[in-house]
Amino acid sequence: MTETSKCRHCGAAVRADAPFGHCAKCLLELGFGELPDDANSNMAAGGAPDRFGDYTLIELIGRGGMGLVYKARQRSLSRLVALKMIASELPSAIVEQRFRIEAEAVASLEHPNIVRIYEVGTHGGRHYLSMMLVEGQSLDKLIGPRGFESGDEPTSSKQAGRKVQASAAQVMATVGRAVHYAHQHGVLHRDLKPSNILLDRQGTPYLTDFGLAKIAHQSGGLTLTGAVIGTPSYMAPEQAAGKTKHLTTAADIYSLGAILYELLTGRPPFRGDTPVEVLRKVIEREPERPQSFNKGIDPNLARICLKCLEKEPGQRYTSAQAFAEDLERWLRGDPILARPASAFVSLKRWARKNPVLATAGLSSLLLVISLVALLSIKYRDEREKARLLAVNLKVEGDRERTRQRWRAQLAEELKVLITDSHAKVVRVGSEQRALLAGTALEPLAEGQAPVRLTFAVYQHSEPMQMVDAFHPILAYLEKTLTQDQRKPILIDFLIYSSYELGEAALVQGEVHFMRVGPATYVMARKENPTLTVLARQAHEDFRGAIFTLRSNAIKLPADLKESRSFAFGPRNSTATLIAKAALVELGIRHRDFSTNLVYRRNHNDVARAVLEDGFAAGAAKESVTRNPSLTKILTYPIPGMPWVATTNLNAELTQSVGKCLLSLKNREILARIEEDLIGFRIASDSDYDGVRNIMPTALLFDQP
Amino acid sequence: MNERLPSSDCGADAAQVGHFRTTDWSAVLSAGAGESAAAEVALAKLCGAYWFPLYAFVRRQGYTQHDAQDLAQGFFMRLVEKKILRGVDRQKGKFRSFLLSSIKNFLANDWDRRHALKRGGRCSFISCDEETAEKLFQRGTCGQRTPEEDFDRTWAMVLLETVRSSLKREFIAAEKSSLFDALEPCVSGDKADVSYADLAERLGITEGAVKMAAVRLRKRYRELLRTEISKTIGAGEEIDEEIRYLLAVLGRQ
Repeated sequence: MTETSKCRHCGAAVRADAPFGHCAKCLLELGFGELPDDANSNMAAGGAPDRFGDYTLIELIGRGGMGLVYKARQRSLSRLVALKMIASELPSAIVEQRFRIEAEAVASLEHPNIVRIYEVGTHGGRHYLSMMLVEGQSLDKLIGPRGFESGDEPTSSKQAGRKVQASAAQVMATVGRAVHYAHQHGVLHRDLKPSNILLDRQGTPYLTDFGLAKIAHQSGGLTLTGAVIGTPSYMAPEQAAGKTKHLTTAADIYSLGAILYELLTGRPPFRGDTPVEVLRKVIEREPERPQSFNKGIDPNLARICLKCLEKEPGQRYTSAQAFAEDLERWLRGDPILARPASAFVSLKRWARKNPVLATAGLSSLLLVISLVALLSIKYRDEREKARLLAVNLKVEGDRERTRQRWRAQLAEELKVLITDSHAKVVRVGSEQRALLAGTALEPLAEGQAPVRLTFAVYQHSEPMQMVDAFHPILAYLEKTLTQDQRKPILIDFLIYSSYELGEAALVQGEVHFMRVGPATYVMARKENPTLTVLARQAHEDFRGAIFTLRSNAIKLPADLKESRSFAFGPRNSTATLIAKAALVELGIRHRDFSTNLVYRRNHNDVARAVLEDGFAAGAAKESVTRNPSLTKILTYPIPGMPWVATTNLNAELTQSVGKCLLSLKNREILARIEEDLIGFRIASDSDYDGVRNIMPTALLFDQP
Repeated sequence: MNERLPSSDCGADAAQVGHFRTTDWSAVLSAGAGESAAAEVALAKLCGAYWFPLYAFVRRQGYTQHDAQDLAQGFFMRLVEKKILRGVDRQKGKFRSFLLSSIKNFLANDWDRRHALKRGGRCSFISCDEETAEKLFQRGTCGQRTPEEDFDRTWAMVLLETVRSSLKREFIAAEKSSLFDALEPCVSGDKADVSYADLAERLGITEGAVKMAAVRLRKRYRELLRTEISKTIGAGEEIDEEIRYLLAVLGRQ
């Protein structure tokens, strides 16, 4: 028979030979972060509460991974605070740095639902921070087997159910807004869980413990590569998979959903016997519908919850604010924005459950769908999206590498304009442009909603090059317009895949303003007389030329009739139209070239057709004939391209944009668009009468 | 006389290593299937220290005492030979979780199991008192808990016993074993049945010195406990997290 005894600390029954005469629980607890030495010796021996610098420790109110938290009085200010101390001998640089980061992250946040930080300091070689004391309970203490227990006595079970859900939604909406605020300030929480949400006696929630937050401006090298940080049950799959370097605001949004889930059902989305098992489920399994634990849960509220728990970060709410707003809609009884899973998402979920079956058919489907998604997305909340992206870029630390990676990704997406014949237009938002170029986003003044304009071009060279070419002038316009209008003006950049689509966009007023070729302008203006020329591009000498190989027999314009083959630039470009008119004047028509007539995508490709592909002659801008192997047969002036406003741009802005364009003298910016561009000139519709007049002649070229 | 749980032999030296030392288990993980003498030694030490929870788990699966001994030895043999580690994906994890899932696989794998049994297990390279282990197993069995729960609980017990042995060894090395015996019950700061004054008189030192020694013992205990835990978890994992986990396991009655 085994002798028994009592644990010397808690009195629990233990065997007589128990180590130290204590029960295992008490012995393990001793291993947690410890009291400071001075307080330890006093308090442990039952002495009076001790002093710690300016603070008098009153009682221990919590322990975390990072250290102990005391209720304390700050003597100099005579106020009660929560004093958080780094555990005594966890002196690793990593822990210390994390502690400091927590301090810095939280100190930068001032929000009514985020625990305020008062002081960060070191005393007796120990780091500490003092913060607002929230007297109440943490949310985890208020979760019972049936979910959130807000403390109100229910009168009937159905009413009670509804009340629990409303309280849960209210708390999470408030927390969501606080998280959003932190995100806006470049801080990810990374360990959102019920125990990090404190409720005061009035039930107001406060967000605390930014111990894992990684401040945006902190560079990398802090987190151990791939280390899983956070609490498994509330951790986003990407976080659980150890992709800590790629965490975004979406990871926090997942955690918000996981907390809401527990408030509704009384249990987190995934449970397991070991943390590893939980992690595995987080990554691999779909959560059970909340209603399967409690039929009384409103399906709409469940939907909000599940939207946060999507495995794909992109499928979750775009921001914590969007999450909060949907909860508030639900509380008001308004329709919510979270939709039931689309057929596509259901398919993906099905695929997760049936990986082998799905592999064959899914990849091609995914490709098609992502293209469709790319083209149909309405970028409603552009700044928000990009700002979050900027936060994430900053958080990721290695900014330049991230930017390059992101750039490569966007370049890949933009290629859809070339590779997919159904692609119509791509949009690169103002903020995205800035991020691509590596320039910081100007913070917007509080309460000043930016005016967002869209500027378009049609694609005439590699799309990413076009983004780079137009970014400087658009940035310049944003800056000068913002000064001129005394309100923030942002310009999104659109690239249409063809002249025709660009023209249609202009006719239908899909954009605010656009740079088009003179011919496109003339044709669009015919359809839509409200179009206004803001300014026209001025070049040193902008001419088109019909040219041939120097070695060729063609010497005179009349010889062109014998040339048998011909290369044009884009079909509806002004250079092509004028060349066609010139050819018609020379008595040359399409039929003279039979099938040996091609349209190339840009001027240089026309030159290449003549130089390399054996075409007898071609028509393009004159500058390509600088190649010594080429010789000009005739040249003609091309009017500078007009920048055209639709009626979407109001009169005041029309004038302002025109003024800003005319004021642009920076040759570097101008040369990015075209190498010989020297500026902008005042222009009106009548400047394009010349093009308008030759158009009927040009059209004759293609008639049989 | 009561048998004490088997405990690790490697507490004292580990505590002296610098703060940036990778933990024993993470050293094993990062060495993976590659050759690393240090990792091999670390693994052998870990196996030696946590032999008992594994043995008890195998026994709970219904194997006889002798089969369980052979299986545990066979398992560790394969582990140290790296045949099991080869299957470890390098993701971080705790030695405890790794051991439990590996032994389950091992037992589920018919060939492994039979091979271990056939070999007879008498080639015990991990020294442990198998008779004592069996007695301990008999004593600790509880039909109410799952074998996995028992594994974790036993693990916690072995961990604490290991810490105690390390601490005691340090006191013995400093020729203060009677001081250890006297102060052992004071580890939590709660005074033992006897007062510090009585202890002082008995030990022939001042009361202040006894108090100071008690504080030092608490501090050292805590350091050794955290060091011991740190050896079984991956780099970057939190010691406190593991403590919380074990506390939760112990809380489950």
